[in-house]
Amino acid sequence: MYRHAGFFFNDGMFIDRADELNFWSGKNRTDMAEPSGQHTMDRMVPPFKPGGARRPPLPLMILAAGIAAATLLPMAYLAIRALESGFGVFEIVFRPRTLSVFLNTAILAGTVTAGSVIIGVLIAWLTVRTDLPWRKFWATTTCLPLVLPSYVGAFALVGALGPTGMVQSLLQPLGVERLPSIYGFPGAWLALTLFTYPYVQLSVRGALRGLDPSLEDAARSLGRSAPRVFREITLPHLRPSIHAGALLVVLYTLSDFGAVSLLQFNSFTRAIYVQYTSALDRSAAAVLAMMLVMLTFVILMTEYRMRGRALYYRSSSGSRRPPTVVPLGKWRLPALIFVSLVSLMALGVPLTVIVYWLFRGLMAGEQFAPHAQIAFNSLIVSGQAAVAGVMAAFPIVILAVRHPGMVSRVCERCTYVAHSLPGIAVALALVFFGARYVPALYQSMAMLVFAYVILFLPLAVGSLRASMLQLSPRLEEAGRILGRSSGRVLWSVTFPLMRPGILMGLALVFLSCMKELPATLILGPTGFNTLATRIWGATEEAFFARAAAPALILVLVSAISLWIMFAHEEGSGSRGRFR
Amino acid sequence: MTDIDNNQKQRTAIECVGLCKRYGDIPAVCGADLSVSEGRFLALLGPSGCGKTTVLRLIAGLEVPDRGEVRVGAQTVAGPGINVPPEERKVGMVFQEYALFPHLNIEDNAAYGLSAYERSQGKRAHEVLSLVGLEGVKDRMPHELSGGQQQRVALARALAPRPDVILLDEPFSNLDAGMRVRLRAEVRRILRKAQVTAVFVTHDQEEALSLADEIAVMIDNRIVQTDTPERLYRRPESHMVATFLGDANFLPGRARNGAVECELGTLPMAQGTEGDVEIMFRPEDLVLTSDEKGPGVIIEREYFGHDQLLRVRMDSNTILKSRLVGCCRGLREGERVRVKVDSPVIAYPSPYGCPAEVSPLE
Ligand SMILES: Nc1ncnc2c1ncn2[C@@H]1O[C@H](COP(=O)(O)OP(=O)(O)OP(=O)(O)O)[C@@H](O)[C@H]1O
Ligand SMILES: [Mg+2]
Repeated sequence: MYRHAGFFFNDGMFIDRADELNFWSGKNRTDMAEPSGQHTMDRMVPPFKPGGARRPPLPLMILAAGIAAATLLPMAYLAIRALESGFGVFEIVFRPRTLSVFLNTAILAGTVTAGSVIIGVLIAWLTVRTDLPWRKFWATTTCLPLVLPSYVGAFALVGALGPTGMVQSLLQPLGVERLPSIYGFPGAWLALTLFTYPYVQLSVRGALRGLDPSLEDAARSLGRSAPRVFREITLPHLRPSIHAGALLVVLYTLSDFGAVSLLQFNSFTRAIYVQYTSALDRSAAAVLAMMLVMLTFVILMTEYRMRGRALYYRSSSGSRRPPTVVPLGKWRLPALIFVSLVSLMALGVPLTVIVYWLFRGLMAGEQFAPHAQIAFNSLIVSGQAAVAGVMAAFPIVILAVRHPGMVSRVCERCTYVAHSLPGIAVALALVFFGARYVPALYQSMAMLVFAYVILFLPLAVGSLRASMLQLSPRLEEAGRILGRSSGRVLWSVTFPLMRPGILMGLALVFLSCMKELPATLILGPTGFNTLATRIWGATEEAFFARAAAPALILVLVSAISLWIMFAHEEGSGSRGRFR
Repeated sequence: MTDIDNNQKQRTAIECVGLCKRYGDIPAVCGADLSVSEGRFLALLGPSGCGKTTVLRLIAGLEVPDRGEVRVGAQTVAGPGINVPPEERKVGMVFQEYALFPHLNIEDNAAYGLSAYERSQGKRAHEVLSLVGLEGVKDRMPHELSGGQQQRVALARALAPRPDVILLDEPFSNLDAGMRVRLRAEVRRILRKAQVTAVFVTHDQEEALSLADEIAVMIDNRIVQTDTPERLYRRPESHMVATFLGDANFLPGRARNGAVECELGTLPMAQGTEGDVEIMFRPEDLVLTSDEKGPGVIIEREYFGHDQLLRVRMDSNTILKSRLVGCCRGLREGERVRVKVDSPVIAYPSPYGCPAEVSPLE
């Protein structure tokens, strides 16, 4: 599943994603087109002059550069490993099977994106600009599928419509022998579309709300009909936000492992996993992973090119007049049915299925003790990764915020590379790297924690950075002048004042690790299970009752992570006294 | 002159020699020389962006100079190959935005710079807080204080570790006008009592003139003149300083034997060169007398209460400014006047290049 699930909840949620995009574009954060007219966290931060262009202390620079390099190293090794097979590379790349995997992936990405854009834009428009009944309610429920990691969604789908699923077992007494199969493309498409359209919806929603209604009014007053106004004025304004949302969906689809593997659709991530686990020669897995990485690169680059040419509209922040409401008329009922259906499919069905299988399990006397052990595993390994991640983020952030310059920019951006690539590729790179150079760590907890850290480091960097930017360097300077060394000032002034950011970073990394599937599957020690791998394993073997409890826990975990980001967004405006 | 000579025999507390600092391509300070004797207040006065804050930060050790030296007391703290970190310089600083630690209460803020032992005793923190008259609020958090109180806490915190030198960066600029005047006197009293040497930055002339023992005028990243407030006002060393500090009248003239011939006749000269010059005198030195046949006419009058500023156009089209203290002596716009310069004028080498037209009046 794509690791940005949940990074998007309201307008400000573009931040981290934006950061990542900027890594590729090489643009300044502030140049970034904001899909919504709302402020991002960054803009709330007062522009403190850095403490001069002092050269950063050497130990700090070495530390940060080391961390940045550590996040890049495995990826570099993946390339080496893939190319090691020499001409074998071509043999693998041009295999008919590889071609079909490539086509599958491309088709899936294309159709999921198209579906998400249509559903997302429609729902955004309906809930912002029309007289749809209970708009607020729909706006919330249609976003909530974000809390479902893709493998939980796939589990729900299989648990409902699979050969031994809920629907089948309910219909059995009625003489229905077999439902049409949901495995393969239809299931994968449905699952991914249902769990990714909120990205488009949220980004378009932000843009729609930021749109200055006087523009449309002006166009109407100049004699344009309503549909033409939509096409000529509204749509161009929405284009950047649709792009941004669609990009997220494409990246999500490319890197998703949970849904495609459970629904047995042979796209890159599944093919890589199958190659990795079944074939003796792992070169094929390495080459496939490399192809997937390159595909991701190509998409990011293309997007950047397109963005470079596109005109970006910023809505004027002055106008706060509510936009004109479009009466739906006879379309009201169909619209209502549409949003209800989407909410039902994307949220209602999964939750029902989880609860259904939970009860079935309870009735059948399913043991819960093993779940406790697994939950504990998840907790411990995610906790370690959170602490390690925040500690690794500190040198990068201090360098970036207090000593801005070439070196610090490069270091910061390096940390985004692994984060923006499919988790399975990063995991595979680490496997190869570990097996070759540090066999002692191969399939150890330490390796898993390291993988988590490089995958989720930007989350910690983002939170720490935001909170450090709010901290005037004058405070640290005051501490120095009052006679304390820089280390002691860090301890007595900087850390206490950054506590909200530190906690936020810990929480984000922790929660993301809890949900991470492919890296855990590949790098976890033999026999080591987390909530995520348990759901995946149980679903694959159709032990739905066994997956229900972990799924419920994970849904709660994602809900909490979304809530934290939400609360942080709301709260960041009122923390003025720390400035 | 003697006053200054005496003071230079005192020990210097801070000395900067040829300080230079650039931020990338932006020059912030280019060759600043500064010397402050122990126990004195020096105001660093200059327009915005001229590098005042940078000079303070260089002295405090928050920036490393590109060139030049900084000495605090007898110790060279910055120079070629030397860079004493800020925590070892025994220099206190009050930041423009106070920079109180928001997570510590007032007492802990004041005690931050003390040794662990002194902190546990709590005596010194109490001492400095009562020095600034704030012992009553020691348990509050910084955001629960008014701007003026925060400023005094910042001062107490800087004084607590008994620094030899204290630097204040626009200490009053965040306060409203009334508060500013009150706090100014207060801070001066506190600093005198603590017997520290102080350098404070300001772009407010009045503040500098009223508060400082000495003023260093900084223009375009350079310190152009350092002197007592009186000398700086009466004897500015350049056209630039004269215009920056107060109002001034300038006229071309020709100097000979300690006097200068100009449009207003032959005037005694306080100091200066021979030959073509530009003379300067303050508006309050220009005395106007009502006279039907006088060579000037009052074209504008600005009334300020305690004084008034009159603009006079001479028949030669030169415009002169005159400041009259007290009630208006019946001078109105449009009235013709006679003019007289009441004190010796200052002469600077002529910026005009060619000899000035000198025509004796009357
Ligand atoms: N950290 C920095 N990076 C780059 N340029 C800087 C930095 N700090 C100051 N400058 C530049 O150096 C010059 C001097 O700045 P400085 O802050 O010393 O001026 P100042 O006299 O204190 O001005 P003000 O009265 O506005 O506070 C200015 O041109 C300023 O823009
Ligand atoms: Mg300044």
